[in-house]
Amino acid sequence: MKRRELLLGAGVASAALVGCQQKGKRGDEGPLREALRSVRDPRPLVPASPRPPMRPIGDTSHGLMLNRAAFGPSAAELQRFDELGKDGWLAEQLKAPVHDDDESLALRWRLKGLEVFHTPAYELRDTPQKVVMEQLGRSAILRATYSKWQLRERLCDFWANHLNIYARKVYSAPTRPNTAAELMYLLPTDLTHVVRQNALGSVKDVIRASMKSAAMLGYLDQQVSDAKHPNENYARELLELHTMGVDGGYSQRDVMEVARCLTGWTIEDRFLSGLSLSGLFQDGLPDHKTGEVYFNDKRHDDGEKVVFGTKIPAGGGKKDASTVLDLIAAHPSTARFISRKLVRYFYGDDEHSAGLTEKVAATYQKSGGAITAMVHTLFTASEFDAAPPILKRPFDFTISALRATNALTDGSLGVQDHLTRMGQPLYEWPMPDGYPEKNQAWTGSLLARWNFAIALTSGAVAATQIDTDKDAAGALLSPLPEFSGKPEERLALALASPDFQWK
Amino acid sequence: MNQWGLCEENSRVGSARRALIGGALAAAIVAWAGRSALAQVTVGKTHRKPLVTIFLRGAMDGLTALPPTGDDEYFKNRPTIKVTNSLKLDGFFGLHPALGALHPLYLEGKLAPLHAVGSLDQSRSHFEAMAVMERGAASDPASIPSGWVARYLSALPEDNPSPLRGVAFNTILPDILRGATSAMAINSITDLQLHASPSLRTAIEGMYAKGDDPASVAGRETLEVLKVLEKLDPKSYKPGGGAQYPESNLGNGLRQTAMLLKAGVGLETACLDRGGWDTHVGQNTPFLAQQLQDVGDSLGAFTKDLGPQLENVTIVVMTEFGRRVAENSGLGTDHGRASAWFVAGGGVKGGKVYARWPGLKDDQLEAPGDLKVTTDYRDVLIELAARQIGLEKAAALFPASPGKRVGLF
Repeated sequence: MKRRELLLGAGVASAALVGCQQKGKRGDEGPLREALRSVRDPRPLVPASPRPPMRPIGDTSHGLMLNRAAFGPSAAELQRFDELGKDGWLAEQLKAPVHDDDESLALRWRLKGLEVFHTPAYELRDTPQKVVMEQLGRSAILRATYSKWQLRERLCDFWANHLNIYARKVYSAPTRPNTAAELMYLLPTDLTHVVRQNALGSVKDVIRASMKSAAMLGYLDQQVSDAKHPNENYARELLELHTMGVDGGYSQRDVMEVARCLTGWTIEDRFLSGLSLSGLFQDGLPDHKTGEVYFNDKRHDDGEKVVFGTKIPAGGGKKDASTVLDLIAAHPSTARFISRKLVRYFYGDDEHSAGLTEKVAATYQKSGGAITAMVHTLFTASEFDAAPPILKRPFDFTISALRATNALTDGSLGVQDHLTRMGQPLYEWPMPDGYPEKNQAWTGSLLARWNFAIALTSGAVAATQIDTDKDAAGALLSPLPEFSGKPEERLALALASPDFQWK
Repeated sequence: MNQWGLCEENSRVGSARRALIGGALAAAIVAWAGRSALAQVTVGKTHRKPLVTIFLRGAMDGLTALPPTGDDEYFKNRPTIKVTNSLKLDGFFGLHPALGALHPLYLEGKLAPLHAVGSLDQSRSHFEAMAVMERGAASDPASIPSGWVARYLSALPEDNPSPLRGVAFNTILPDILRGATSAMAINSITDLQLHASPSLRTAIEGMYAKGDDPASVAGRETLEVLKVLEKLDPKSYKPGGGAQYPESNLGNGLRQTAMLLKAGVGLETACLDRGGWDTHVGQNTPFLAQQLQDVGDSLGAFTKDLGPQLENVTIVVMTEFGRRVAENSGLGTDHGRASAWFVAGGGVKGGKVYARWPGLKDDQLEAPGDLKVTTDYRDVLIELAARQIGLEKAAALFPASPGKRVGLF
């Protein structure tokens, strides 16, 4: 929901904490107190941890770059990095294609087996939910672990969270009562055509694609929005979470006007009804379009609107949506908000992140929102080499452990069940703001992380095996902690260490 | 970092506590765990009254759980899905028969049903409305960064160093506990095991013994929790009073809550969830009744299990909003405004329904046809919190609440 944390109301709440003046050093504060303190004191928060990020291979530029722009070092990635150097590696990564043609044969083979990504929504109706969820998870794990285009996969993780969709939400048909389905069936299309297609494209293209994503519209109730009852849910999150940010300078009136502009965009819903497709033509839409987004002009409010002070004349029809997108994409708040999210994700949060955000936002303005240009600015900025530590989210921790130990995995339930126990079951964050980025949100998952480290190194994760050569498996984790027990336990200890939780 | 979320101001207490944490904590916890079954936490001199929240996520239909059978408009609005066999409460409101396990509690005066409860949030969005109630906001969840239970824990006296002060039976820490220290999200207590050999465990403990980064601090807390739980043997727990919990997530969560409360391990709040209330369709089918049955049977078993210790425990059953008064063409109900809540436990003045009934006639409803909110949810929660921390501090947990007395205690 609303991400703003510095509003006034909570200042009153903090009064409940009687007897607590702020004399403690910031590093001594618990997360609640930090949250409350930030209400009273808007200075940027110094992270509680003075610990430097883990430098697993003894070289700061390697460690930091591969932990942030990739999912941690792997033997192959490290070799490539050494060949090309930091700048060369980054330049190569920024040229990642959209397709998978140059991925390894093993990865392509495994991805080919994930039928939910190769089947249109209307054909998926009878696929069991657990199959859909498992294949969604497999795709994410396999790509993050094995793709040669690590930065692209990082950005896919970023955009999938930025444009979060809860796979288990049940959305209802706009025109047929009693019919509903889980969004998971529409998610493969979203992940392919919104996220992956545009991960390194332009911000405007990502948002445009998302505005035509059935999964997104179903998630935020856009499909039921019509001229008579415009639904503000999607319009609000489009502004608040996807583009301009809650402080972006729009008003409640703007939300309502954007909602009016978007009326008529809905999801063809024969897919949901269980009815056979033939003979149920709706608005001239061909059968194979069922389950997709289309514009129904009968549901559209075609009157005049005013968005951010700009008049949108009556009669715009389906063009109203692209007019709104033009206004949003050109707005400086969008440049700043997306830049801030990128900085938080790749750099972290400290007293330098505001300055870095301005640099990235300037690149947005210059490049028309080109993601590659923004990311290039971020990684080559002088600030980056002193980036503050970030606590790995469970997905990050898991993938970096698989990569560090040169593990073979098919990414199926063996790994996924551990992610669930760590608190990050994939595509199951219910709120539209994506999995939390704050370090404090994830400190409760340590026990599950330790158990994963132990299971992984002892061969107890189904369909997953670390390098059988224990020396090779431990090479990227050296120096290993002192431990006189079994070698695989020594590896587990390295993965379970406080150091390995940070990046 | 101060792992108990305390400020440095109370330095005397703080350093005493740190001494306890530094050396004798594990021993202290083991000592509690082995102690007799005390319902209230008796660390230091403070007697605590544990708070249990059950959040029915998805907007429970209060007009089905607690049907206003004395209001003719109810039957007119719901020709197909009306409840006709409710159990008698006060003559105006009935109790859905699937909640029958709660009826004896009502008659004993230990259950207070409330009606027309809700927040000022009019978005009718689950996310928004849940976030509002979990953070304790008026209508804008972004106005408050932390969960109200987290703030409640911070407002309690600072003499309980247990790492299990707040527990959520969930995969992640829910918003209601957001910002809390010494709180954990656990799926099941039996899952809380470290599958390590003794030597590896010792090595992990060694690695986490020193650091002051958040991961190291949390690691130490986690290891302390493990020590507590390993003494408990949850599998062999026998509920008291012949209580039988349903084999459901809620039943299991409450069973474990009772076990932790009886073990006296420092639990002060438990936050549980029960989803599946978004009944846009099919309220004429058994589905909704089965949902209610689980809540009634789980809560009934919990109160029976606690026995006399229920006197110290307060339970609130909440939901983010209610549902449209009129049934829809799918024999379900759409998102509405006010709903029914329940408060149970010791000290509550139960045996009566708390409702400023707004009525169900067209001109009494909030557009487009919803039960009006006449009791602000924050006023209910304030009275619960006040039982432990006093009214002034409780009211401060919920900024700018209307402050209308409900009179639950």
